[in-house]
Amino acid sequence: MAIFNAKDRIIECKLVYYGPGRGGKTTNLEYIFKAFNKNTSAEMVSINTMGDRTLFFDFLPIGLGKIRGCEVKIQLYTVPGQTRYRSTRKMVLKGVDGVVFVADSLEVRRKANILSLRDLADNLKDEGKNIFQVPLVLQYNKRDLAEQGIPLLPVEIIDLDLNSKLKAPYFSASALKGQGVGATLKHALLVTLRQLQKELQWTR
Amino acid sequence: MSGKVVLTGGLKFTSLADLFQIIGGNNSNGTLRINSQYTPDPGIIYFLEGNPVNASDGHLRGLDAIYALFGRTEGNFEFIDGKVSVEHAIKKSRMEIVLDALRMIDDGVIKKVEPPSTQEILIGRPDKPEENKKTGPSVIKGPAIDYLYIVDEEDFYDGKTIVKEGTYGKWIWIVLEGKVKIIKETRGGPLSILHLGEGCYIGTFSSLLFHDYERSASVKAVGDVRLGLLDTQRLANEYYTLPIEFRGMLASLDRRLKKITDRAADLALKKAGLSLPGKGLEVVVQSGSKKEDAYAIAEGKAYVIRKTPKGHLPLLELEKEDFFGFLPFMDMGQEPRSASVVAQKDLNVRKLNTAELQAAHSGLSMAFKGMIFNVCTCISYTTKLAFFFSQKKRT
Repeated sequence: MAIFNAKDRIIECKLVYYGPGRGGKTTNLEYIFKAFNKNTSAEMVSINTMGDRTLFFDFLPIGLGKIRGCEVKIQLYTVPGQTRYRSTRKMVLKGVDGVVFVADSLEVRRKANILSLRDLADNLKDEGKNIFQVPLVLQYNKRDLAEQGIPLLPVEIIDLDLNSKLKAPYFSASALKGQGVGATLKHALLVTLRQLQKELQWTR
Repeated sequence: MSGKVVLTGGLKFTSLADLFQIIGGNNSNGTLRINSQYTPDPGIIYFLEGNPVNASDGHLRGLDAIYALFGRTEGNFEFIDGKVSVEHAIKKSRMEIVLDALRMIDDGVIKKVEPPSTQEILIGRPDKPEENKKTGPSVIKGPAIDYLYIVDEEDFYDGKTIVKEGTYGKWIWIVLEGKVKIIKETRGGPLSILHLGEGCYIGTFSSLLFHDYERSASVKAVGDVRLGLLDTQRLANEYYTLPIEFRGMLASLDRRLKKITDRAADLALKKAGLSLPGKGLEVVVQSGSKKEDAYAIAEGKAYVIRKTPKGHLPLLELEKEDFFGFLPFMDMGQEPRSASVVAQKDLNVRKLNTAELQAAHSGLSMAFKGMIFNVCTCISYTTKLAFFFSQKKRT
């Protein structure tokens, strides 16, 4: 649920990047922070959590216009996957408006993807949310590694694994090279804001 | 500085992480005070334009203080609106602080401030005297000490009698250092019931009343002890501002402690003591019940009983004006969780307004709350002791 800041007339939404450790969530956000620097806040907060990093910054989608005279600000987060970081995950997922699930295309990470998605569903449930109803976009990352002869899962297989029931929009990406990062973000913003508009019955 | 409290609440519902986002989102200026029952000083965080600029928690200052405050998950907060002029000791952004603090909680770097666990309260076990021989007898620990209420300090040497059973006196002390033992004078000689350690109170609510008050047990120093004499007048003033129902409940709590102590002494001496009326008893509160109601007895008698491997053990008798049931701020180790209440059909009760009692409780000073907590702990411990004596007797 977005926060409405009446003082500055800003609507703050929360978009969380979720996925298995070392799958490219952080790389996604780092790329966004650099490539869309006009849209981002001055600083990116980076916390070293064991085996992973938690990132946070504000993103201002320019060109989106205002909703009833209010600016829209998106808070972008990654969340540490490890079970022990319960407090962090709880805070980050509290009031989440949209989720990008970054899956790892490496063959060896097939199981990790499935477990992480199940974990996401459980954690959303703890927050009183249903994974089928939360605006969700999937990203199948690390597609570029095929060029180096590293065994990857075909997109169809990952989609079958993760998305056969969810039927969420999905994108192939190589976050390290920036490919697909923008497309994923744009679509995630689109579905998130559309949902907000529906929830709050805004008309533009 | 306008100095108005503009936001208050409980940390259990609105965590410090949430507060940072609310205050930050509104670019507010002001002071956030965090009070917890388990620490003596309030924690303070200063905000400027929604960002924390300085803080204090005990002897900690700045960022260290903020991180420590994230460990408080219980207690109340209030935000006082108005510009603050303090040194800008914190340069990190608020979200960085929040995320970092939460990580530190999960990594176990920040210690959670919680009520002392049963394990902490009971160092040693009454039911395993052989273990106590190795570690020394069980010592009850009290909550954090509220130094604001201490008017004088007194030292007592090992073995010195601080309070004598049967004498009159109205002073209330708090154990600052060392420990004391509570002794019940019996026909079989003095019987040591409890050991009280740091933060425990000597003397109860009856001391705050106008009429004379007879000490119900003796207290002796075990090793050298330092006690803090409490400002009884101040506590009494607080007592008389409480709703009548609350005061009645405190009096009943006192009676319960006295009764369970007598009962434990009887059981230790293998005296028959309390017995239940033979017929017509009905269960009023079932042990383990999740019902969140409390009652005061208008007429009749009720009995607190506990299930043991060898049948039901009557613990104490409740009379007119006594209360029983569930009160969120009282864990006496009896009903509704660990004991049942039974009564005959003619029992007439009045339902207590639990919400009002809780509101009155949350408005109390830390010293007063500590006293309630301490009496409950003593009841709980003595109940265990009574249970232990009863089992020993029958084997």
